Amino acid sequence: MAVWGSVLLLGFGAYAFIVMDNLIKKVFAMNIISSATVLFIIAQGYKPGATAPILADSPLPMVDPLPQALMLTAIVINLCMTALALVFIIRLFESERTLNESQLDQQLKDQ
Amino acid sequence: MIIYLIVVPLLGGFLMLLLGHIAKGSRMVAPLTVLMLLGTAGVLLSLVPSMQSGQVIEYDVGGWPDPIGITLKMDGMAFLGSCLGMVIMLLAAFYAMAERRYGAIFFGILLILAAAMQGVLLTNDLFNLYVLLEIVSLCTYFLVAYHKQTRSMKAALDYLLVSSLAFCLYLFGVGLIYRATGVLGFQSLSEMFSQPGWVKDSSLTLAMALILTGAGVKAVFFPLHTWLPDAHAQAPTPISALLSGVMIKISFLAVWRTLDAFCADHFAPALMVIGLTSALWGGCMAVVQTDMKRLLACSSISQMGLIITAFAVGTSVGRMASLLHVVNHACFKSLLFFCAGIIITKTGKRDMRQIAGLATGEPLLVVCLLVGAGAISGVPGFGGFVSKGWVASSLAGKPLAIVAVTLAGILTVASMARLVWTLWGRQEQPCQDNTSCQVRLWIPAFTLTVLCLVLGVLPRLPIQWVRHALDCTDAPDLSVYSMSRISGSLVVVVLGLSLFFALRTPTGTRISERVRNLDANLNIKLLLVIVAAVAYYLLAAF
Repeated sequence: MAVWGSVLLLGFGAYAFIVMDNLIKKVFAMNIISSATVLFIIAQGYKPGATAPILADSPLPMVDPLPQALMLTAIVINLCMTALALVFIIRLFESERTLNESQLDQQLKDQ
Repeated sequence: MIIYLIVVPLLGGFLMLLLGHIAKGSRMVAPLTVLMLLGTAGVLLSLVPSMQSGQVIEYDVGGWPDPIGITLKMDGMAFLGSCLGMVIMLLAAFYAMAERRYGAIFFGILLILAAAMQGVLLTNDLFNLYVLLEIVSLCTYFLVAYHKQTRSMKAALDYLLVSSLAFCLYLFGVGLIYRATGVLGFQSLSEMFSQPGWVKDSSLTLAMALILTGAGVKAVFFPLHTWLPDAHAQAPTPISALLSGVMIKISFLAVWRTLDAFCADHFAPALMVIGLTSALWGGCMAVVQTDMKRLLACSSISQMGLIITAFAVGTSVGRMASLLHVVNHACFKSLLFFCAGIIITKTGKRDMRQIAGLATGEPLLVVCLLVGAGAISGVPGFGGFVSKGWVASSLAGKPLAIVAVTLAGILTVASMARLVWTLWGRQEQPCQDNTSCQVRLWIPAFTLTVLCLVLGVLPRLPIQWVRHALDCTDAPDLSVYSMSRISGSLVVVVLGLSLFFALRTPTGTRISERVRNLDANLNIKLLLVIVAAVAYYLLAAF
């Protein structure tokens, strides 16, 4: 279920990423896609009815901790990428006064 | 011991950033950076004896062994890549120091980049590779946009968005691999996949195609190369030299390692197609450019195509040819970028149509540029001749591939002729004699010139290194300077020069103009990432 959800989310994200002309919306799309990957990989370690993988004498089985650890790193990386992308977009907006990708391209070509 | 290769530059990067914060405008930052890199090079040198005896050094980070923890592995190939990266990194840092235009942040990030590059070579599992490639990318985006010009920031943003999309696909691939096997380490994966009973089903092929797409963005596989001309052309000169010279090679070596771990023989046709299309398309784009750095960037795509093609053959000759060209290309492409940087500093222009008569009073420039252009064109006597000869011999029995590689060679000669042409001719305006262009700027270019000549005159030396690095004792010793080889390369040079003159005619100029305007916009670049993933999957599955 979660796997198909993540694939669907990936499809939406990729569509928005490619089609949207607004740079901020492209960054949103980038975040949607990376949420999709996080969901997908977390789902690989999921077991129904299992508890969180914290060291304890619990009678219940635990979910696979590895995907969760990996995704923590991936989330941090994605945060950095988003921040840097937004910095570039703000700077570009300050000098070109536009967030529209094709308009920005045109203005850069005309310079 | 090998952990110091990462720790020393990383610590250095942190200290430089701190120093830049405490003592603003300190002049110590650049020399300290070079010192830190020299320290890292010292660590590498201390590994030479154990590498010569063919040892493989492994290191468990934090003391946790393979299936649980992160392990680093230094083998022959990683060592060669490390040395190459370190040499070019040192020269780039030296050039940046000589230019005196960069602040502490630049050098700090440069050192972090050096650490991440070593990490990419040493890494031993899929997820760690993702993390390190992303650190490399993050540093690269920042350094490309360092001068905060609109164009360079747009180039960095395009690069960021394209490679973020591709890396999400990479992570999906990692998830699929984990789902099927439950491991991510290269060692465990190759043990698992090399078992005879293991069936490579379509979900695994899809996973490998997705991973290839992600890493392929860094290693400029064909439809994923779109970010490169902008990013490499807009970056500051030392960064261009570093990106084109070693960054794409190091990513390629990571792809190499990954495919080896997957035992992915069924990807050979896909890689062959990727390599040949990169070689031809990069050549076509290079030959029509008017911007000096953009031309060099496009020609990097073409040369990477040759490297991928030779690797795709899969024989030990092919692998050696591929690694040999990695070594040579790192030397001559960085050399050419340094030359271009000096020309741009000197004249203040990057459009080759407006530059002429550079040779007057600049014997050093003539020598460096001619050696670089000769090496990349495969003229006998330079390094490029040796490795291109090996690439051609590895393709024996594949006439179509040989024709494509020869065509790429002709395109390379024609594009280099365009660059060399700026040396002569009537000087329309007197060169603006920039006092900032001093002797110390020449040291990196001159070092690389000597290196290119050594690699060409003593071809046994690099061949020996590569043979040792790949442990290919069974590969035959190809005679490098044979009559047929030399005449073949001279024919390519003559054909390339005629193409160059043909493109100078009015019709040729018009055609160049049209090809040059084929530039894709960001949306198409992003679409191409998805198209590439699907295409790689289809090529491997059928």
